[in-house]
Amino acid sequence: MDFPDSMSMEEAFALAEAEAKLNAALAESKARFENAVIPDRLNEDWRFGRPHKYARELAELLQSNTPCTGSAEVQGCDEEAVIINADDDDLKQTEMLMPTIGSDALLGLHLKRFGNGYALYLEKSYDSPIIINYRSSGLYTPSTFIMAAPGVHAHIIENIHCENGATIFAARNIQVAEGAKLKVELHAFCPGVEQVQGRCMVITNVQNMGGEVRHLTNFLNLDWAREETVAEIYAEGSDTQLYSSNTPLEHMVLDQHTRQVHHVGKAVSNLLYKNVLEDKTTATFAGNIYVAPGAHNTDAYQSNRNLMISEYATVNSLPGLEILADKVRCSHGSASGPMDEEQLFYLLSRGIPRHEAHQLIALGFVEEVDNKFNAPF
Amino acid sequence: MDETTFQVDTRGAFSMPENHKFDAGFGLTEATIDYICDAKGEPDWLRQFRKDALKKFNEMPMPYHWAPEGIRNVDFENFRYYLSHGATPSRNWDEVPEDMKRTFERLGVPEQERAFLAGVDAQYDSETAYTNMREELQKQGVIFVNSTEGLKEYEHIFRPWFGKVIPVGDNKFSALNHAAFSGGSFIYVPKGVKLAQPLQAYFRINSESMGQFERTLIIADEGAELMYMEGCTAPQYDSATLHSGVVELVALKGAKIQYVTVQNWSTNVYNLVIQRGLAMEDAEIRWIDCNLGSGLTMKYPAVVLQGRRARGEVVSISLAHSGQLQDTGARMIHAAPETTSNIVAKSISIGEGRASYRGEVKVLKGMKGCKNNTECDALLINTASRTDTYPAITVNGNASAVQHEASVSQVDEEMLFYLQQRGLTRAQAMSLAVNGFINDLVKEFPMEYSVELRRLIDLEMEDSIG
Amino acid sequence: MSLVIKNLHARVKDGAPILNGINLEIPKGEVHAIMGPNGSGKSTLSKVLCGHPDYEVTAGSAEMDGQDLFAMSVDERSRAGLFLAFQYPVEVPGVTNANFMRAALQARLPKGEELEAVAFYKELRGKMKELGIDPKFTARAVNEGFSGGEKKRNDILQMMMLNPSYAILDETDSGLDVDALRIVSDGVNAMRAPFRSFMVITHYKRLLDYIRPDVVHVLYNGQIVKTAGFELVDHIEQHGFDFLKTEEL
Repeated sequence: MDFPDSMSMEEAFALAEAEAKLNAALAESKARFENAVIPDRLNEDWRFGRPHKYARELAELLQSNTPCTGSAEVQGCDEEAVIINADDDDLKQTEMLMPTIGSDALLGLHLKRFGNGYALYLEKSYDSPIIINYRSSGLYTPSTFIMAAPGVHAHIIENIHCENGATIFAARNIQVAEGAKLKVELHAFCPGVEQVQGRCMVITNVQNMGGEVRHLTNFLNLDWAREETVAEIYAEGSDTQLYSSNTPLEHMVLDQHTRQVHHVGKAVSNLLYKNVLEDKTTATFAGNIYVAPGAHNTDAYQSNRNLMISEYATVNSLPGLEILADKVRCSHGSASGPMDEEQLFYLLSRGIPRHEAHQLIALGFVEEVDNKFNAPF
Repeated sequence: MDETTFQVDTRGAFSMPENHKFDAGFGLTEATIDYICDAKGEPDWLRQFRKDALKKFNEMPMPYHWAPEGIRNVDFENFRYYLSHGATPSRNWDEVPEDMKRTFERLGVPEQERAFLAGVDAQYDSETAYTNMREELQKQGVIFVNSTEGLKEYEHIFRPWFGKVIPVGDNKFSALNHAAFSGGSFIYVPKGVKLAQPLQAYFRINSESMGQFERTLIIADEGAELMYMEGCTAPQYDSATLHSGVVELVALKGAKIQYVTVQNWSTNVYNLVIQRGLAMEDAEIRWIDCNLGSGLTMKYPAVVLQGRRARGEVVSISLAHSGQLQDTGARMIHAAPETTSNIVAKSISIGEGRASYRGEVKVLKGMKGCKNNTECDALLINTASRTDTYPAITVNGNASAVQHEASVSQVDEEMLFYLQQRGLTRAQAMSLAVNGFINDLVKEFPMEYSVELRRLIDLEMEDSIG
Repeated sequence: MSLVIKNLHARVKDGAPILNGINLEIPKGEVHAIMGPNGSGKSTLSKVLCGHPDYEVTAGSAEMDGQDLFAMSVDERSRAGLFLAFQYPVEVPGVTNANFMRAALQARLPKGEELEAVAFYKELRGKMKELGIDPKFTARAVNEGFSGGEKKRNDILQMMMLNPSYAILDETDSGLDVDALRIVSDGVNAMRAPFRSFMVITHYKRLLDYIRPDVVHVLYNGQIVKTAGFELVDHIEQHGFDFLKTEEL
């Protein structure tokens, strides 16, 4: 390795050490992709996820000759802050080091298609939302990288348009520096009701280095959607909030997996995932709060609520906790059930007709999530 | 306070020299099964049944969606599958071989029998050493024998339900038990008979590398009621011991079964038990479960709510100290409308102990008016303690409500300070706090057991903090 | 014109009977207080009149200005002019107070007619000011995270907005401090009119000192056992309900 002359011994050592560490991590990651198998029924993280269908079909498509076709655009962000991912080695390395929740093999296939999508380096605050649009009607594998520098405030809206039976598989890395305040919302949907519903898988890694981050997902009008979101907390005093609100319709299969990983203590994380289930939909939520040894004084919460509208809908809820530290305040809850009779009675007793009352309550049920996400910092 | 007055519970930590008439040796093969069948004098259908189960056991993988990693360390070759004096239990303590009798006397079993039990079944390694029941119950038609005798004398009641609640192929350990089972109780309570006092089973492992595979089937006929309690201990050996029982409960229309376990195996015991009950219309099954001992416990008492308005409940206390993994929980399967279930689980992790809750609640398709409520609370005592919660909830349809809440907490330092300021040692204060944490659940245990439970917790606290 | 309850029997669905033959008439323009010990059926009476699904009417009738209440659904009764201020107002997550009130008022308009938004907000803000409610409250979810007193005030606000002909106040005084009690009572008193009546359910004289009733009824074991003027309130305040046990009823 060559070092510039101006560098002191200590700096050179530190740099060499960092590089060795990175290389080791990359080697480990390479082995991870080589050893990974396409998710099957033995894969605990795909429990209730029908891997024999969805994971296999996605893998087959990624391994096939089908080209990646799609378009990407960014609005509301300075030009110099945006780079297009194509062949950027650093970005590719970032993606290689991403944790998944049971889908290492699929991420490995995503990497082979690397080259689409955007990286945003936010060095200053933005008052208006930055909007990213990904569109495809075929196979598309965009990668998003968002880095918020210390103290930066920004709001990013990422839209994934799954047009006409498209399969879009996105990987996202979000890094939040000390004092940054970042809101990121992701909306994946099929844009027209008359279109063939597509499939969408999104793997996200949020790394919080001492800022405040709110992450929201919303999947609508799709055949299948799988979310794997890992939030890693690396600094004391950080605040990480994960939200999702969905109203799946028809036969939609929604499969959401989250991890709140507290590497250090004295930090807060909070998760609220709410779904209103209509028609013959299936929603699975599997969350986990992991508090590492020594991450004392952690506050971590996780809540999954499902409002069951249809008698043919199915919900699977697996809220997990793994606590290896002390002085932790930690709780999780899961509730799935019909509309609350007392709420309904209250609305009816004010003269609101039953149908409207139903709609108001169902809307309010998921709106609670949006309100929390949108509340001022 | 004199420090020597506190030490860990040693009442189970002794052993008698081995003195077996029958010893099937290490490992489980067809030859082992032949040996067991010959020793027990079993009919041909059972011999074939066991061999079929063995085949299944060998074919099946270890559980995957439902297991801690520690289970992969179990080496089935390193256990002895049948050790006994013979298959005929005594009805009178005087006839029980001296070493066994002394063992159960030290454990206080005959004393408890006289004091408050309706009947006792005491198992020593593979076979029951003693079974007896109060005479008036026999007159009412209550059957309380060991499983060997049950299959021989009451095949017409036993066999139709045998392996029906927990089938051979349910999982690898179910297959194992079907192949190698010995001991355990068979109980039948006739229509409308309500037992005022509990029946008790005591499971004792004495020999090193023992594999104990008791098999219990309890049938409560329509409107019948009973409480059954089991206690377990073993001496500490260097090599591992395996306890892998199967317990099936059948509560017919309107019947009530309460099954109480206080498990205090030594830490060299793998405690991998399958317990499941079938509750028919208006029936109620309650599992009251306390796990204090063993190195690795995997135990998730289940109720299949098969009849309308059936009720199921699991009340669970686990205590894990260093070197222990208590992987416990509950399963509730709502297979009929208007069924209700309730799970309350509390765990305490001490030192480097790890307590995990694993649960499954399922409301099947088309079921209406089902309700489940689950509460899991974990208490962490030391900085190196660990706790996990792994629930899996499935709800079909819009006419059932399932709710799960879990929390993790520590003992409040302010409270400890308050208690210590009033003159209690830190261990005593901690012990009070822990007792407070599980107080509402301890009340669910019969009086004699709850006193014992509190004593055991005091001892644990002294040992780890004092 | 009045609210007439005749021989009303009701029970918890598939459960124990709670109302055992209530006879009561509240003419327009009057305020009637209903008192009685715990468990006498006061709250049940209010819920049964509004059609709460937990209860079923086993006998008897209730008519509001000649309309059969029990033939109407919960929301129809409300639109016909019946209002219940809940003992425990319900939290409705995600639904803002403003949207909630708009939906309730919209439901009272003829089909095709839209609620006039500017006038609505003006009225809402005015009433909120009267009750001392923070203007930010319109954007908050109904009763969510409200204190006990705030919830009660919110219910009174709804009553003022919906303008009912018959209002039932179910222990509206519980959980209110003296100042809040005065504000709420002033709101109710301002609404007293010849075309409106109130049924005030309470344990305490405190509220009735502010909202002075014309008639006082005592409910016991699901029946009206005593009807008198305000002097009955004083008697109960001094002697409690013990007289119910000693007197031959």
